[in-house]
Amino acid sequence: MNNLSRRQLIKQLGAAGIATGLFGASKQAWSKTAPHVVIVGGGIGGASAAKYLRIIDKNVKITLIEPNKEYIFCPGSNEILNETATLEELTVNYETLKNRYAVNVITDWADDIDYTGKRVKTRNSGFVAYDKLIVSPGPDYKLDAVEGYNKALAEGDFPHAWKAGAQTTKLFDQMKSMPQGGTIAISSPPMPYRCPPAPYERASFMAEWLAHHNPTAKILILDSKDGFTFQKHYLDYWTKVRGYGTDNSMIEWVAAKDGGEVKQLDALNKTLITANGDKIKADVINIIPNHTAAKFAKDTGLSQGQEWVSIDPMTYQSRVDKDVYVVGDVTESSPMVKTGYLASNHAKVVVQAIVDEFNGKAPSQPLYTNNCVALAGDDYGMSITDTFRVQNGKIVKQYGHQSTELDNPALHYVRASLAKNWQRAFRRDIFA
Amino acid sequence: MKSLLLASLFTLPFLATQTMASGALIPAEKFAADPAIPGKILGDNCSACHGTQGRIYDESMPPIAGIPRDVFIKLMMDFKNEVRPSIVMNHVAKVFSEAEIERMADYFAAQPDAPWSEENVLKGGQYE
Repeated sequence: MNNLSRRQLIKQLGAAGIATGLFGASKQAWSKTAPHVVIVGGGIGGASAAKYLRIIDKNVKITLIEPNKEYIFCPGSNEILNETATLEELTVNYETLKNRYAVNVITDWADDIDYTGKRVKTRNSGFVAYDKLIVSPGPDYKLDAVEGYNKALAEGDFPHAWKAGAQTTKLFDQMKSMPQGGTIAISSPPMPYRCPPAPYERASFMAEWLAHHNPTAKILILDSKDGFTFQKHYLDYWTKVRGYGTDNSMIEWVAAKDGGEVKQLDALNKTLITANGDKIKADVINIIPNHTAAKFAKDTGLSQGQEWVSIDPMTYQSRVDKDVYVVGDVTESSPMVKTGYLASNHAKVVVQAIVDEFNGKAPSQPLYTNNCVALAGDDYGMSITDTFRVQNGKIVKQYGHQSTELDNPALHYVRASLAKNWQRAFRRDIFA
Repeated sequence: MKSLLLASLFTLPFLATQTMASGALIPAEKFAADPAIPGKILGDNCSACHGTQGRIYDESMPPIAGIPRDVFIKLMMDFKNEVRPSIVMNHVAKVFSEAEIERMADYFAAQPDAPWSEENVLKGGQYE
């Protein structure tokens, strides 16, 4: 058996880990029969699973496999662009999960799943055996959906910044060093992608920064869609404060039906080529890439050759193996959209289903909400309230509401406070 | 006319259904034949705003851990029925049946009225 024993863990993690009660409650070592739940991916989905599992079961062994020592929250990362947040504020680590929730964290890549042997193959730490496996690897980006765009360019002069981190800072620096009156072109992808209003929030925050530092600059949003979340709010706000719809507008939005879809990047000439052949030269180019399931989900067969991973919405159990559960953006969960809020709620349902099974109980009926927020400016917030139920094995959208009120500055301000409050509270819900 | 409307509904692209401002509410009663959703599963949907187990005490959104059962039920029913105006909670509450609100009330009434972040999960506390 390749089960990672307590002794092996002591060897791997060192005495310091044990001293802080890293692997188990101070009063109890894990019993030999304690089931082992392994989680691949320490983003919002995986970290939520680890914490919420520990809350409902003190006796299960929990191991999280995640290659990075820190995680930078994506929700709230557009705020780097109007200087209302720093990457440091958005950065969390796995110490609380280790120390308060007795989660064994292995800093490594998970490369494969041995379904028959019930173990995960890591890159440098050997095999990790599991009784139940939760997979939360997020999406990957199809950079080449825009011809000429690639990883080297994304890490170089054309950051997509669709995963908070160095690229976010790079994008901000590019905006900062742009000449007066320069142009930023943002390519907004087709659905599905994580956080549907985020490209428009990004444009809004850039406009807010530019209004102070580069008031004649332009932002051009080239869209692969004909509409977007909170469109009414964004267009109204841009009309009122950024001159939207006039010749002097700071922001211009080109829908897919008007030829907005970006087809090609000419990196050498800093030019985007759209579906109708327009060539748009810009000082800063931000291509938000098309999404697909993470490579791990494809390599392990979890996606079954499809774009996303099919799951049983009652429990988020995979269709491939009954002991493997998959959560978050990587799943085919439509009509849900892809958000961290939903990923965390998938995870809570999964851990309840796993503990119910350990206790010989049938899974509980789930409910998933996506009660989320976005901003159009530092003083203008919006909220969305979506609820999903499961009926006859299918996800049913019971209700979906986006805040509707316009022309109410006090309300917009309150909602902006609410949005900022939500970002802090949500980070702590997962990582504190 | 009716068939025309129906036809146009069905020809809406998928995208539009995902990005439309507001959809009709399917009343909770339509799901009454499904197994009951436990109070914990319902209540854990509140954590992003109200903290893990409703136990966040230093933000503008109020804690709900330890809230008396009847107070929670009255609040949620008033939100649901739009008796008590709110910028978000009316839309949050209206999806739940009265029985679901009662189960959530039981869940939150049973939570310790103290920040969860101060608890040592390893040493037991409430999890003993």
